Amino acid sequence: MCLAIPARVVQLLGEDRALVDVGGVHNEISLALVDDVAVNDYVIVHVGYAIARLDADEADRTLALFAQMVDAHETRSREIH
Amino acid sequence: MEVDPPDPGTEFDVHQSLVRQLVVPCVARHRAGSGDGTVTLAITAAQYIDGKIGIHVAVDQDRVMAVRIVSSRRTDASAVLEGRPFADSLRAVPLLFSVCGVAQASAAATACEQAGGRAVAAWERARRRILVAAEMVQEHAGRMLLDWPELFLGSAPQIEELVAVRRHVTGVMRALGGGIHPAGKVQTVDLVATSEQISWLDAALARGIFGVSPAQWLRIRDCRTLRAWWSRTTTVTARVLETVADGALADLGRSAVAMLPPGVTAALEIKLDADTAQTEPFSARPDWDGQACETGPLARQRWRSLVAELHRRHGNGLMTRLTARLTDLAALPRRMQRYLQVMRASGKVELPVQGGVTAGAAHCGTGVVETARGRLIHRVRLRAGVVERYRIVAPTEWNFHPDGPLVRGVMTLPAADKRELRRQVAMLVIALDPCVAHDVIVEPSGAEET
Repeated sequence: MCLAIPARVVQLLGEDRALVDVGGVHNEISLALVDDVAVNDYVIVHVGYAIARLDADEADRTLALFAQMVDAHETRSREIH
Repeated sequence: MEVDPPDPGTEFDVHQSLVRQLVVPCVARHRAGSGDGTVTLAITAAQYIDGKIGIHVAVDQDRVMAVRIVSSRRTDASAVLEGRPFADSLRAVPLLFSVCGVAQASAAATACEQAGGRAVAAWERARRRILVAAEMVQEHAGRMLLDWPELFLGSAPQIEELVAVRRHVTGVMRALGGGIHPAGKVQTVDLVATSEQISWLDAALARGIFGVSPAQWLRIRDCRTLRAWWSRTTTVTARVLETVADGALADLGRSAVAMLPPGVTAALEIKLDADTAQTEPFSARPDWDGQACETGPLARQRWRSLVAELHRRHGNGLMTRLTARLTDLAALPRRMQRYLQVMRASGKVELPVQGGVTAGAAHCGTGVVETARGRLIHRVRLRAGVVERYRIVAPTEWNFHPDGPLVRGVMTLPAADKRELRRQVAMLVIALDPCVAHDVIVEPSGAEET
């Protein structure tokens, strides 16, 4: 399963390329498969290509889910140790 | 990799901080495991965002001695679906999974409905199957038009063709109400527009992939006709099959691994229900009666005469797998039109309102969906409408199992030329199509991690 962690577009580089930021890590990706992406939009990235653009509400809900996943993971880790 | 400390206070900083929690421990684990430094760091933090599979191939002169799969993918994501009302979980599923969100949502809905003892109208079942098929078209086309040309031909991705396919996949999904809707969400669908979009999708596949209509391509029933097709067709897929044949790569990765039988057995459900292991759970290393299996287009299409002939000649080698994938794709537009007929026959134009699950005791349900990459299984246990346990087995877990088709196939490869070995491993990986990116790491036998 591949997780849909939203990546924020920080810079449009031209020729359908963009710089995205995920957790402080910058990646250059292709925007060739999605339309109308602007700086500060959130996109889902798969193998170097943005495959979907998220609206702000979707991005918020997705990030909240991942926050819960981290909590659940930490709880389980504490139970093991 | 150095990561600056978070600067809390804004929504984006919360995002950064969150992803850092997900990523950094994973990278630290891989660094700690790199021993004397001879093993390449398989992932970086940025790659982990996508998730990644590292395929470590240990060689001794001209032989592959061992193959090890190192995955940075989280297989425990389904835990976040537990402890919620089932409708909330259904809403969360397509947000969590990026590549096959419709298939995941469909499997989740089926599992929850079965657990709650709710019947689903034939109309809605047909609608979901069209949505899943549309997503399969997108996934198959993505590999064939992005990865195949680069890996097999050294040529540029076919972006324009893929954009056309994706446009009509989106058109189909919009016309059908947008997705799998949990509890109580009513939307209208447009069956006329759906039919039009499927026709345009069919035409886009003819232009970009088959050179003829997908239905005409399915009439290729033997190897001689297949050869004639790639000789007269200019699409990248035709060039790829020709290259595989001319390069004597048709048998590449041939192994005796079993094909995953249809459906889900009670024995498998019992294993999933008992799956509480924290490390190497069953859902991350599934087996069928103790046997690792291959899932995906070849397992589904091997009954067709063309694929069966290729299977007799080349086993589950590269040519058979790639042709099975083309066959799988070619069959999808017709399947979508067939399910559209089911929807038309029922005459319904609104999604049914879905009620809550009211079962007091615990009830289990299973949702099984065939995706582009293979079988996806969701297993849920509900109590009073709340998700108590959730397990997901993704197709990548079968195909990239330590004793599965990728590992067994790589074990058969010649290893004298390391660069060529890397390329051939990548071909087998793309033929099996994992849901995440991959790295191939060739290392001397004995240097691998234990």
